[in-house]
Amino acid sequence: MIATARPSRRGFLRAAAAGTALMPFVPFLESDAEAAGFPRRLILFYVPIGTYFPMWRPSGTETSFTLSPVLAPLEPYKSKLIVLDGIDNVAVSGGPGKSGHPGVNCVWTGAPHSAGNFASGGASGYGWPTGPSVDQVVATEIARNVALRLNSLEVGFNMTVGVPQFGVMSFKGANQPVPVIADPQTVYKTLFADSQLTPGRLEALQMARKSVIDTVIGDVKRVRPRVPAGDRDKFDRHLENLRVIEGKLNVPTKTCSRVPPQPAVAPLSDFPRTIDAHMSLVTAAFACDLTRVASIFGGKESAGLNAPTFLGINGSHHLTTHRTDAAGRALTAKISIWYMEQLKTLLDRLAAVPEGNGTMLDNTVVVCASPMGNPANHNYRGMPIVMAGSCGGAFRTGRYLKFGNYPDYGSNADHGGQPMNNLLVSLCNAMGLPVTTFGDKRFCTGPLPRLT
Amino acid sequence: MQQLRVLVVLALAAVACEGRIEPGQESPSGLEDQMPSGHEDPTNPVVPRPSASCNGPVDVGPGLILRLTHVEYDNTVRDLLGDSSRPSRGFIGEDAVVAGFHANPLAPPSEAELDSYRGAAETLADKAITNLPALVPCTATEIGSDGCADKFIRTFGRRAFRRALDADEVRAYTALFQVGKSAQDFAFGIALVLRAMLQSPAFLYRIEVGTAVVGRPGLLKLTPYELASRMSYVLWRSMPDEELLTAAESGKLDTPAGIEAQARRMLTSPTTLARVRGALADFAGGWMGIPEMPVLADTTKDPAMFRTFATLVGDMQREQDAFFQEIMLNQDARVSTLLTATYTVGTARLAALYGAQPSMSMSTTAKPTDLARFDLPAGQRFGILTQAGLMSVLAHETETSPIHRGLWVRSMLLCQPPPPPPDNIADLAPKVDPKLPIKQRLSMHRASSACASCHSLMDPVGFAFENYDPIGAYRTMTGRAPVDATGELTGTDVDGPLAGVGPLADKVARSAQVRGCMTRQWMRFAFGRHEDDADQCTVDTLTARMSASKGDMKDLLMALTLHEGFRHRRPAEVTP
Repeated sequence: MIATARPSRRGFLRAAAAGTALMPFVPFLESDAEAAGFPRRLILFYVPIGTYFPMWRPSGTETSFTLSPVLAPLEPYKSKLIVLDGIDNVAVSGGPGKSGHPGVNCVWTGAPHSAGNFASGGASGYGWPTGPSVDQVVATEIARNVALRLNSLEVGFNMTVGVPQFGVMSFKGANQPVPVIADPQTVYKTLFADSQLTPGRLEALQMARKSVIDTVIGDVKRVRPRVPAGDRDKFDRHLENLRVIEGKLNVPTKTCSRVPPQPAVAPLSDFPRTIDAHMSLVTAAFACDLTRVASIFGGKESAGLNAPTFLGINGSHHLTTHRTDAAGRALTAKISIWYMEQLKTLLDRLAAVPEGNGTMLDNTVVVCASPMGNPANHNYRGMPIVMAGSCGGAFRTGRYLKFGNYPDYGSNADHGGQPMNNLLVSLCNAMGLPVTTFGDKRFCTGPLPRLT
Repeated sequence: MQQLRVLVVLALAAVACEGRIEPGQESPSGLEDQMPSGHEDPTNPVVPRPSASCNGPVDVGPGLILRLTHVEYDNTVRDLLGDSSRPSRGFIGEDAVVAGFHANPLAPPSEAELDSYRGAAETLADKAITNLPALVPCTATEIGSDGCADKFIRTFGRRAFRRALDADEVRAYTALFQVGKSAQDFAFGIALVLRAMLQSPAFLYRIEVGTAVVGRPGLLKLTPYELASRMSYVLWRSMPDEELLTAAESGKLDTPAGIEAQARRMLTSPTTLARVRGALADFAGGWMGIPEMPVLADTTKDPAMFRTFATLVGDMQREQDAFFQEIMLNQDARVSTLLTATYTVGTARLAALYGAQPSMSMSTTAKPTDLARFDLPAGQRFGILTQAGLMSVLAHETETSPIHRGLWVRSMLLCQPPPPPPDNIADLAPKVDPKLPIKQRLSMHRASSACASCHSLMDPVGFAFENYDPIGAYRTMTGRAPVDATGELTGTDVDGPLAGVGPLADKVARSAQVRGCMTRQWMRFAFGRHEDDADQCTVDTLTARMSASKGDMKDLLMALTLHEGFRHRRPAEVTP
């Protein structure tokens, strides 16, 4: 699967022009999305585990605030940010699997875990969350109105270590995990390989795939009524997913002048290069209007960056965030700063695509979040969240919004903050879905106040 | 030094301090959370529970149709097409870990996973048609004809779907063949058929439709084909071979004697031994770890303290698999042997770690990476309990973790998993002096009543492992202090004081509770689910058989395939 897709000639020339072999990223002249009237887009940016909150928390007032050491890399985009203080990942407390890391499954779903067999040994563990994630809900709605190459794009890195269920944050529904593509080569192929074939070859390929998938769909339809009722749901979902893929075979491939060069082949364990490649590909996918919803998973929950030796840290990311000494907290902050530098790079790329009087960043909202406010204590409240981009004017940016009174050193006590579910409602609203609740209704009171 | 404090908090985080396990009782499904908190001394030894269900007709717990795991997919295409490229390495997404073992009962394949299946199917099919004479069951003159395609669809389809195709399926695949043939040629038609079969639910799932059991609503008896698949995916983690399929078709699997003959062949025939080894490695990989902790391959150690670990970890993995297979296939397959053997099967590098004399074969012709059996220093090593791989998985980067070692014994060997950690763990964590020895630091757990109920079940067991450092090397000193490996085993049928792993190994090797737990572990591995109350009869019957056989796990696998519970399924509506 590695490096079989050829870079486009144009992409190659771009790379050559940029004069660098390592993921050159050439600013786009103008987005192909223009014809579509600058659609709104959503990016979920997941930072595993969490940060050292006192070094993350800004100071000042809503409109006159100073970014913290952790958020400092985002300073150039301060006017396009909304820093959210006091949002609680409260859904994770609503079911089993409630201590810390499993919260990765609840951040974007606002749904507690079902009972299940994931936990060690015992039968009283947890299963997948009980509802869909915001990106999938939005993507499915968009797909109702417009045929894109992909409904959504899920990318990330460090996805093969540790606990499988900690590597999933997107869900199409209960028991429907949407896994992450960890290899940029695969992302590149998924997005651009077909568009580089000659029309004749592509047509033959699509014809063969259509015939094959029709046969497979026939098999699922034959099997489905024969299996017992309790097994049918899985085959229904299987069939739905096949139908999505079948539908995509009918989406005409369009030429896009923004096809980036194929990412240089690099070991997936090289996290900085991998996330860099992913961010370029997400930007290109948006610019070519191949999809409008993406998520970037910054390492499997709990494992995170493993031992981030590239930051000069020999201990594990996870163990570091459990440290409560000053030196350990400084290292936790250092890891967080690296993540904010990556986020800044993503914003740079989005802002490099002009759209109308502004840039693609203005038509996008990037939501960066972690599952815990104080990972040393496994607190699910006080998630560090920063939003960037106004999503086409849906959000009033350049503000620091503080809800409740989350203590610097964390607590699971109710501090009068806002549930993450409310932010998920607001994200849906911004993306054109007029919903009033999201996830578990017990934890949702409506849109997050003061955002718009 | 601050890291030590951290480790205590982490260690606490590993296991909850709320709830408790009934003394001497294996945790039944879903009951931990309902159990009241209390601090009675666990004193009652385990007694086999009465099996009311054994008096009535067979019953089994609810289970869903399983989709192939990555290991099963790779093994299946190996045995179906002779392709050993292990395509699942390129798959997007991971298998779920259910009840400790890889299994996919719940999630349908996502779009990305379907794309992975498509990519693999195209690659495999396109490769297979480059040698048509080897692929299709036709003579040279027949190749190219519609008759040959028909033969291929029926014969290959029977192996790919692990059952004969029905008329509708033959029609659908014949039509697909014709599409490929008219678009290109005969070979392309065959390729399309192959691609579709490898993406069909009949290939990707172990579909068990069964037949209704009279008077037992909801219970299904597996068809002979389905039973054959269950046998092969449990014993081999792969598809049935020709002999097993033929046995299913000829009615041989309708009798216990027929099933037994096949199971015995599948476990002992030299021609299929590699498949058994694959299944054993899959079992050991799940069992010799803690489901929510990194597996051995992902385990890291402080490179400054354990310079050799990075090169040894691969050897440790191979030792784990090879030793497990040695006990199961070449020795007596007894649980007790697994837990007390004073030899291992490892590399010369591991022999050095263990301070063992390399065997003759190793010292003369062996490469450093060759595996060979050798004896371990007397009194220091006890089967898998003290193997470097397990000791490394159950330790932190810089120091040991008695909690995790105790937790492993409790949950994987005794089937008494403590409840998950509480939310307010940080508020519970006692303040300890990081300069104290680990045993004294952990003793704070038992000073706190909130922590004591669980930690008294784990920490004192884990202390017995203190002679094994974070990568499993034997030690008598920690820093300047002599190792204190005294502990205690409570709440089991073999309670008593521990002084090192020796006494622990003696106890667990003769424990009926351990034999019962191993029975459950194999059932979890076999069924891809946790056992349920309805499985109690199966558990009891097989545990009794394990006692009669003195803990012979190969015999257990035979008995499992023969048990009525193995031939039935109860479809579930809920999370397995």
